[in-house]
Amino acid sequence: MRSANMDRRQFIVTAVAMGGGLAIGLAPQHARADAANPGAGEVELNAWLAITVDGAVILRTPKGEAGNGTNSSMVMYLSEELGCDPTQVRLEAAQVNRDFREDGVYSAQGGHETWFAGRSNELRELVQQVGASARERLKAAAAAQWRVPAAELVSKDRAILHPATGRTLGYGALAAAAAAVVLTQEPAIKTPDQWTLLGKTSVRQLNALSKVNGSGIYGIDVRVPGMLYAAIAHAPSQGASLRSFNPSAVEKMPGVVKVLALGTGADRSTPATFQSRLRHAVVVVADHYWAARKAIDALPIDWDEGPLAQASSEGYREQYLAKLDLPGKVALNTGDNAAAMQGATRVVEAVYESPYLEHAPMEPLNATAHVTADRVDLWVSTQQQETARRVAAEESGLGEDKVFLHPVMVGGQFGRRNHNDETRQAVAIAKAVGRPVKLIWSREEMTRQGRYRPNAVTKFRAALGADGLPNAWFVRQVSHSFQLQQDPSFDGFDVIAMRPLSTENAYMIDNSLIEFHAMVTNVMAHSFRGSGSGFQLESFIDEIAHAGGKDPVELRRWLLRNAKDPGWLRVLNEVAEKSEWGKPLPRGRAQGMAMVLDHGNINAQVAEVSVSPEGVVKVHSIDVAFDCGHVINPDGVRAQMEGGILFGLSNTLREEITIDKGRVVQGNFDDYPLLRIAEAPVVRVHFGGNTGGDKCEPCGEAPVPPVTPAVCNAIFRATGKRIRSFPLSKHDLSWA
Amino acid sequence: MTTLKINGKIYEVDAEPDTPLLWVIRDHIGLTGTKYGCGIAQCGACTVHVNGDATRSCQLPVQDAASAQITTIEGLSPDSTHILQQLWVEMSVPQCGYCQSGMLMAAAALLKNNPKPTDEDIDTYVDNICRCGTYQRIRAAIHRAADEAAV
Repeated sequence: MRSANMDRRQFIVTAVAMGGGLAIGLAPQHARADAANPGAGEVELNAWLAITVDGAVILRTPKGEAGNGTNSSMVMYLSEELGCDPTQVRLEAAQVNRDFREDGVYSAQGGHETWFAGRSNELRELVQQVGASARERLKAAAAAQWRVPAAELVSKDRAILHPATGRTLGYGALAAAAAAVVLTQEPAIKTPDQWTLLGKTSVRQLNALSKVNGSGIYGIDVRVPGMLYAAIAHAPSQGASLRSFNPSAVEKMPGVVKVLALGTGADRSTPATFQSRLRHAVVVVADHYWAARKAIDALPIDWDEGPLAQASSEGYREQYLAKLDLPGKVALNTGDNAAAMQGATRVVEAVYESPYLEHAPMEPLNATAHVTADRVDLWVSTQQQETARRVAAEESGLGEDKVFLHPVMVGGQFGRRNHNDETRQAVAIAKAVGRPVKLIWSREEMTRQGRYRPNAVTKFRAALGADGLPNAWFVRQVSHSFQLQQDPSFDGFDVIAMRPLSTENAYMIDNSLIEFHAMVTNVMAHSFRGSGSGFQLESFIDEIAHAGGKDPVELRRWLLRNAKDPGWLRVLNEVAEKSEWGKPLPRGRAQGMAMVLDHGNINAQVAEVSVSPEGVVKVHSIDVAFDCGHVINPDGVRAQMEGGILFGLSNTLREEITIDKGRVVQGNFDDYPLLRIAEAPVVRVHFGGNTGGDKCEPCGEAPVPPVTPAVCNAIFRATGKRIRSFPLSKHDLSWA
Repeated sequence: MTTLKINGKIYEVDAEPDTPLLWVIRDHIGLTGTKYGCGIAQCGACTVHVNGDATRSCQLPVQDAASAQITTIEGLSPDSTHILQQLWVEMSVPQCGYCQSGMLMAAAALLKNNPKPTDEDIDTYVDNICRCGTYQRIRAAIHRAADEAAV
């Protein structure tokens, strides 16, 4: 679908032959953030695209590099229109500083998700337009030189060709002239039926080599002249405050430079009760990280544990369960639920629970900052560079035009790296010591100071008729609500907590009554890859099927019988067929299925699971089918499906964040165990569910929600044990 | 001062004797390919070769590494030509890539000792954590490396 911004896009054409000197005294890695836009020998057609005199094509991307395929897609959007091989495009980081100085030269065109590194679909049309516009400018420049109509020219392999006469000119030779061209009309971008590259070819990550030879620089790897290292101990529970600490106990330890209480400014994305992590943390600065870490671990710190010092998971669970008996905010109310329940042949009822989960990216949070009187240089593995710039400006007291963010690779994000607490902390520490400082959160701090996937308790009730089909259902969910957490006056409907129970759900069940209670606890919840209520929804649908004597796939076919979007049935049929749904399996081994709509992507999975009589679970395989509309990078999508499914399976098996005496209990991978290769199932990705049309949805999150219910539904079929909470490690799954 | 032999080069480092080798490699010597993931030898991101054996360097005090031949990811091959490195790129194994230094070092040590590893061997010796979930491709790449070496 063409966005409303199309008509307003004015591509600012600048022709700059040379520009951007290196600032004296800064290490080379400072240079790109500092350069007055184009580097030497580059001609900018606009802020997104430059061409060098040698004909190299440079795409400036606002998407950070976290290996999720986002930038491969960006390169493909451009290449489709420009007519070059994607491997011929050089990717460079767009500068968030430039975006600020030039009135949003990136974000004004790209919209509010411009700098969000999780997906690129919102920028597809824009980047296609950049490529198409550049192509026509290059053709126009060649046409003028050759005195032939531009329509007779072709763009290919970074050159413009005139097939009729065999003449060619490389982009490098045309760039300056092309930059001066003003098109009377911007060309239309290719529609999906015209694509020759998108969806047809798979493109590898351009920086794959740097990930296999140790040369890739992640935020945690940055080294800057004169840099010190910092380790941090946060206030261990929310609302806790720092009573005292004893620097003299560690000040003389080798390498220790400074011991300080942090005391940053307030952070707008952090509610008042959670500011303690930023205001009351203690930091040790040393000449090497280990010296800082050793000292912070040895430092005596006296915390006032605060008013929430007795908070516990058990206590919160009681609060949530108590709310389950009280009417909630109504999200949906159709027909006459009460009457339908009265008239039911059979009523199915169940209560489900889902836990807090931690993102656990392999690279812990870290940030390196250098603060002087008139600038901040910042290196941070973030998934939101605009937020990093704003936070650094706030904490340093300098304007956003003085903040320079240097690109680094990101070692996993999954929603954890939006807020930039670590940026604020690093800037505060750098100011305090007057030198560049690299702050690294230990794994323990990562686990305990997370912003977790929200937890929930959900009551379901369904009325079945004599035909075994549901004719009414009631859902009341009590969720940790991110919106209530951020704003105590929030009284609305929390879409994130409730999807796909009442939204993004195409099941046609009459007499639906869906209610909601919003809760907060003493930990923070926030964005988490694929978070939502898919587990409870798809598990309960399975309960309805079983109670009514229906096959789970057949029941869903019936529930989706009038679904407007043909993708639902297409995806369901694809996964059922490809997984050989219903094939005979030995005792203790079974298939289970689930399907969830997430971020516009319908995703269905069939898990094949065996459970030994002693209760050991083995997930053998997961077949996945999906509808994202159009696939851009087939192998990139395959990788996201594989990875998202393993992420979701890890969540299912052993992950849970619990609270005791106000503190998060878990700390590292010994008590927050992640999935390893031995338990990774075979994942088979099937593309036949895609409906094309005008949809082109991201694929990174959608594979996560169906995993848990698909596996748990398989376990039920294999053992007769219905799983109503996870992780599975809580349950005795033995059977005989 | 401690003398270390890393990737065939000699380094003299001034680090406290109980400093984990991981942090000496990263911060004192500046080879940042070896990564910190957990610090308690659970995740394997810090895997190096010590006298040819895959070792989690976060739990090895530098004084205990003083007489050893140490290889880091930077030294696995002169120019990224180890068969595993080539297959990792060709088969698009990495996603974020942060775990892959350690993963490659574990896989390389396995293949050196056992040119035709079974799935169970891979499960046991390449049990590094990958949060992005690239295990399926890791397994396929190791098997293919074994097959290609056998030809």
